[in-house]
Amino acid sequence: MIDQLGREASINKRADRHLIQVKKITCLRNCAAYVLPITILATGCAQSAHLTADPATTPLDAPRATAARTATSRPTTAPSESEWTGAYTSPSEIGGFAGDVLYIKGGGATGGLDYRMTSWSDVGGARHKFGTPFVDGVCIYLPWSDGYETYEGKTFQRAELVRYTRSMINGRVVLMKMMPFASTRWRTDFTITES
Amino acid sequence: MENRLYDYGILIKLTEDEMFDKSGHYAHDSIKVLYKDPSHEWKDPFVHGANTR
Repeated sequence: MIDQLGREASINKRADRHLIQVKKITCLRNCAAYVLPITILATGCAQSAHLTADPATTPLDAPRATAARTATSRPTTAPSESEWTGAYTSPSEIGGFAGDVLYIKGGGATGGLDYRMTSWSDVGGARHKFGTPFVDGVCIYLPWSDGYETYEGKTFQRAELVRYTRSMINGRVVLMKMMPFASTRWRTDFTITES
Repeated sequence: MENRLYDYGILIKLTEDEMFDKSGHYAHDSIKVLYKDPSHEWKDPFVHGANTR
């Protein structure tokens, strides 16, 4: 009987340890799901030192070089805060399928820029996003997140960081998402004006 | 992919004097204001891929 109780206690301890491990892994996976994409996006516009560092020789808890570009390496033609402000809208041709209205204004809650964006598409209703963007040279990052709880009691959290690159085409200021900009940045018959 | 525009990822900044349409909503300019040759045919880039400029 004592042996039996001892074995059960041992099994329970092992089960507890396993449960703790599973919780730790789940927690790490949840964190990674949000932190990794944001980190990758946030560093997309910058040549950061730690991305080239050897991970084998860089301990995770060691202080790292900042992901942001240093002031001296930023484009000297970066637009001023007032040049970012204004309304930006998607082209009229796609209006039947999707659309965006982005409004950027100065004098926000933190003294910098604020943004408000309304998006809609033929597969869903309008969505509103707002927040405080941050600017790195000719790139602007629009952070957004929300969360909700289903009737079953499950909670969901979403986060995204959208990067737009400012460009000038035919004298018009445009913002391009990462991929569209990549498809036009090597064009040869006109020049991107970073202002 | 050189010199092509993918409409779904582009936002055009509105000028002060053409900010709103007749119904008072924010205006949506034609993608053709960015074209080198505005007369060429527009196709939905979601179906046909990015349009040439």
